[in-house]
Amino acid sequence: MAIGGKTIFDTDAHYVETLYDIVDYIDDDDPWKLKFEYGTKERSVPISFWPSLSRPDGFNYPSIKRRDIDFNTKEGVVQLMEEMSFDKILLLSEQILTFAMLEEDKRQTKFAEAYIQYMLDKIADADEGMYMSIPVPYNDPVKAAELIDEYADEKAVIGACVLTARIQPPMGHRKYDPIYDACQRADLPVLFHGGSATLDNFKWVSGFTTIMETHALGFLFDNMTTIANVVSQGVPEKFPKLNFVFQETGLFWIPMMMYRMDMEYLRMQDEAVLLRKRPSEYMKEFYYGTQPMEIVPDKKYLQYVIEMIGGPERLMYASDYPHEDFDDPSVITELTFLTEEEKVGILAKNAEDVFGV
Amino acid sequence: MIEVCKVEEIEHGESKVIKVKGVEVGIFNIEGKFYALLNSCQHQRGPVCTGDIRRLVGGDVPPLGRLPDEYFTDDYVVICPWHGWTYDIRTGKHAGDPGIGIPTYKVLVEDQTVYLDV
Repeated sequence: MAIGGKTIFDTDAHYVETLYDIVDYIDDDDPWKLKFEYGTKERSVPISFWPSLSRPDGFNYPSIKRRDIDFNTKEGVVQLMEEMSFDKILLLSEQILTFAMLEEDKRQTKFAEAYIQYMLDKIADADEGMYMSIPVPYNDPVKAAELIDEYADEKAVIGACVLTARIQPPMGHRKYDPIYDACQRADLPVLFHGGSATLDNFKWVSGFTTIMETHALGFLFDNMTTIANVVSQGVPEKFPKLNFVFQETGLFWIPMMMYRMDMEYLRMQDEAVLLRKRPSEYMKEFYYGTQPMEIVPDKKYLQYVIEMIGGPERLMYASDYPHEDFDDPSVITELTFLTEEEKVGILAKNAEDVFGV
Repeated sequence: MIEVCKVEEIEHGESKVIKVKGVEVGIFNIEGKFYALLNSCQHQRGPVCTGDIRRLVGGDVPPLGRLPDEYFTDDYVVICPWHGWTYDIRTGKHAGDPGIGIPTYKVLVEDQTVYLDV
């Protein structure tokens, strides 16, 4: 496929699975099967069991429709890859977006177990360039680490995704160490994916009345909280071989956090005893999904931002298909300040190197 | 002038996309008047003219402490199905920023036939 001879690796597309799809992958003698089965009758899910999310096509707003793709089948994934010229795709669970609304119980772990099996059985296919991430059930870090241990060797599993919406405590807390340890042992990059997008799942502050506000801020709150905590708690020092990828937050927040954290660190470095360098230096070693690319009046602003965060080699193209703010590869291919080599890197090679595919 | 179609082929509130000289153009019928826009969104070149056609939603500054009423204005817009960018069908201007616009074309109607002037 490719565009202009350049391989395209979409590092963040949402596979729009439903609970109905995964229920067969819960053992018959597991009492939780009854709950999931009850929760999926006629594809209607009682909100007492599982938070409402999106329409089955993944489109949450009126007037959004793009292609007649059922992004809930393998054929749909193939069709999308052909139409968008994707050579490789990293699929993220759609239902993981509810994780922030699942309190401390087994729903996260039961879902994650069944989802991984379903995806490996029906959808993910490394030979076809269709990869998946493990939806990390962070409420139970020990179980999450067991899942990573169990499935990290699967060829199609190339990342462990943490939905960072309102995680409390944030992901720098020591309770999550087993997750990072398992990922490091398996050489599996950690994906931090924002998700507090809508009025009802934006839990950081109450009182907003438009999705314009929560959609602009939610992903930022999620990943700003995560990056501040992960860096200041020294997670990159505790797990030095681990790669971190921040997704679905755009790019302009990164330099702001770099320089604010540096400012704080330089006067309070005795609080962050694990750090061996400025926070910004760690952040320049992280990777960032490009979506949603900010719309700027002059592309030189974007050029400066990319320079500030460590250059184009920190970036990975991501579409976020099928969501409303998805980015076409043209957001990268049409950036005239990038060299052809830099575009090749952002569109695929950086991700291929990090994910080892 | 290029013949597009008969008047009755596009009803009020509907559009038809045609290809002229290698360029896709959307023809719209709004209350019996015809308009034409380039079928390429200024955002990411989505097929804007295939999107939903609606009246623009408006609102005014409300009395103190009240929420603004929302109402349909008389202006018709087309909404790009890729991301929701919304354009006035008569002017091609973006509903939220008139500094952004998609090219418009002249349309002529004669003898119940719609012509495009490109």
